[in-house]
Amino acid sequence: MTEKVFGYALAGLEGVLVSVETDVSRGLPAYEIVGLPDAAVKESKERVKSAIKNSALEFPNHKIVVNLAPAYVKKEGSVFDLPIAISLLCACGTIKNDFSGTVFLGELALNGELRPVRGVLPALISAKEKGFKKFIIPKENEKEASYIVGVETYAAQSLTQVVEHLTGVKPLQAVQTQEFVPSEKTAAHSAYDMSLIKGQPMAKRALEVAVAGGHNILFVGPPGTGKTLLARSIPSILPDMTFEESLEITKIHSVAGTLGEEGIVRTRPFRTPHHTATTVALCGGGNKSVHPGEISLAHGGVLFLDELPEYKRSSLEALRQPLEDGVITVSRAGGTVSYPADFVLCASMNPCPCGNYGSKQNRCVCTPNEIKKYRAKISGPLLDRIDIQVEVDGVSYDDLVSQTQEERSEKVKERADAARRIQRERYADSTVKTNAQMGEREMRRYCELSKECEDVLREAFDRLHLSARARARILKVARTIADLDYSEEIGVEHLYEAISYRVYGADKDKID
Amino acid sequence: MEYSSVERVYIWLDSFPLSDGAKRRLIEECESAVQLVQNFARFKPIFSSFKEQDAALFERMQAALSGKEYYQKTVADLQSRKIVPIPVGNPYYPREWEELPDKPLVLYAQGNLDLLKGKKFAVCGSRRTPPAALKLTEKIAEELRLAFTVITGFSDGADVAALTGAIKGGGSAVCLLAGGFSFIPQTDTLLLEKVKERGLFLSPHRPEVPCRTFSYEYRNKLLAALCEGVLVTGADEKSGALISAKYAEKFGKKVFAFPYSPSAAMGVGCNKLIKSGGYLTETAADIFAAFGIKAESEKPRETLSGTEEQVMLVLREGTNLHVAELAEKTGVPIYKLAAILSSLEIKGYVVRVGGNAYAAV
Repeated sequence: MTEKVFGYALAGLEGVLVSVETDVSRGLPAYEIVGLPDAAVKESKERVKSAIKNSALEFPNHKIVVNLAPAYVKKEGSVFDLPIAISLLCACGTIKNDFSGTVFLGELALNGELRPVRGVLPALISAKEKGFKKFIIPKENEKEASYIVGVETYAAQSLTQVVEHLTGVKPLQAVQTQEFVPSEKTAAHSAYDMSLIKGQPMAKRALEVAVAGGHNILFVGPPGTGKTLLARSIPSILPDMTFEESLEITKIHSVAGTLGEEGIVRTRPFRTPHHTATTVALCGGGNKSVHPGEISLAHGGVLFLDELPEYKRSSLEALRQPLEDGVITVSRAGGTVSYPADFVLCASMNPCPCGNYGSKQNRCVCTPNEIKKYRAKISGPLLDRIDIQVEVDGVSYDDLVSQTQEERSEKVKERADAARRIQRERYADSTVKTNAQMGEREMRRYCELSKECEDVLREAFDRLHLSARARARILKVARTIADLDYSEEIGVEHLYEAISYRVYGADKDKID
Repeated sequence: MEYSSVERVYIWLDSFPLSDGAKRRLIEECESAVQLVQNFARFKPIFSSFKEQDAALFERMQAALSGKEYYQKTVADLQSRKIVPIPVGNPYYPREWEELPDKPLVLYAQGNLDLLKGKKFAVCGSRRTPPAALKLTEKIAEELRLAFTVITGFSDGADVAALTGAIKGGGSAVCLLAGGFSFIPQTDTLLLEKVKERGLFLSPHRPEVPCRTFSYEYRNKLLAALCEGVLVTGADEKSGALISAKYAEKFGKKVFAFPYSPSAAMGVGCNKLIKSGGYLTETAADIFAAFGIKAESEKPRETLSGTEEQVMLVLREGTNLHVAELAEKTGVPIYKLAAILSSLEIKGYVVRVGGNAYAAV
């Protein structure tokens, strides 16, 4: 007798329905699982057996074959424990299989308890898109599942509870759907509000421009000048998350297992991988299943690379494609897996080997050549994707500026949001979402320059020895500055400000 | 180029790794250079009095004298690298060096030899010359073209700034290296190419000689002898640029220096030079005036907007000003200042000094 029960296999954020068939037949007692199970799935044999026995249910003493179909898809993880158990129980008659259309997810403990698994949210969303509306999941995954509407989800604590629900003995309460409420920790209450940073007017303005247009930003300055603090204030001025964004971010964190108790991500992520991180840790991948990397965990938020020259060249190179496409695709023998990776890149570095160039307190002892060599450590292509470079002041503000009240994040956010609204309208019919994403076509359409502006640009290129690549960057940033100024036309002053967002090294070829 | 027999002897002599002292000794001992090669064996006892490395060369040098292959190969090698050897006595050999007892036996040149003629003006300074002074150096070098050929080394800082200014807009300059041509500092490859194209590279040593610690003082001495005057752009107490100035003074050339405010590190040397009689220099006109040359350059100054003028006024009051200080003093909001300073930077009126601070040029 074969019985089919449904489970779900995730690859990235999408997945396939897995049909768990159990055949119990006469023969010497045996118990096999087929269908390309990985080690964890193979081990579920024992977990399922013990769970069933310890739930005071009958475990058949016959030849048992469990098939996870489709047979050519690799099955990974412990998420199939529950559907395998249910399928088995159906096969030996303990439960009557009249619950087709239900998808089961969960890991079983030896005593029959149902354990939480990763990736419940994306699995449910993916299954729902395929037409499945009923789910049984572990109790601890209840929170994340509660944000999906239009489905019937039951969360159980043990195998016994599931069986009792299915046999009608003790039905479970469906999970209540929750309303998504953006975090109270909005701009008004962030622990890293901009007003807590004293001074740094240029860096703050640069941040405002960066966030307004979705541009990546590089801070250059002596150590201890607050580059990290500035980076941490970015989430407080990014636009509020919509429910869709939150859902997408939650999916990724669910797969990675980094979801908190809340079951949903309410604030934009801020990730700071250490510079010893491997390329796999940074971009995603892995031997067996493909885990999301830091760039995907930073999706919808900020990826902060402190001390950029310290990162491995190869890891930084691997960032180029996701920075361009907003998605990372990892190829494996069995196929490709994609994770979203659309984030604000914020990086920091010292201005020179001794760290003191531009500092008022300490004297820089580096020669122009040493400075040039140091800055050349960052590859041109990566730097190309960082539209805004700004120096962080190495000066103490206590004796410099009068006791002015520093602007709060929410004020800055208002202005950035206004600029973003303009961009939403402008790019309504386009695949592009922010000024930073503009390609040649969009630039030609939206960044037309007056003759005066063209002259300014030409002069700048001549006198400052800018490279051709710099033109695109300057135009995009100028477009954002004009947006912040509510100006449809890009004016000369917008252009000049955009031109100023470069860190002038001793060399013209590398950093411009 | 055609060489006389004496010149050919010098080229041959200089191609060996003999120490300068040994070379000079050999020349002193023979009545004529030609005699040196015609009867080389006679000089063997002198070689025995040399230091070991020099003495060992005798065999090699004698072998090189049999037949013309060695000489032809030496010249051919140089030619393939476009290097022209200019031995003592050659019409192109700088007359200014004839009196120097330790003048180079052969001057190696690559580029436009005509630049050796005409009046030359030397520029030197510390590698850590501040950005505003460097920008000024660039400007002055550009204007000096009207009456002089700029000559300098190829070090970071002042030398590079002077070369950049001198070759701007189709100009040319002369670069005197401290080592041989195989050891040109790769400080700025773009600039290197431009100078190779339009200017002249000189080296007092054959190509394989690296820069040693004493090479710089030797080069500075030669530089001082070649020029009519030298401008020191920035020098701390122990700067090599002061050596050039010392020799310039010794040879009776004019010494020029930028003035610095009292506590500036790079000003210690410069101010000292001014105190001991050097010319305080702020513009190219100051240099021309010292030579009694009428300068007509004066590029028309671009018109600045009212706010730009205001910012320049404030910047000229002090040395370096941070954007925040500028904002306070001018009342212009900071992000508007970024645009204004950017414009002034492009026009060449201000220069960045790091840490969001600016200086007027």
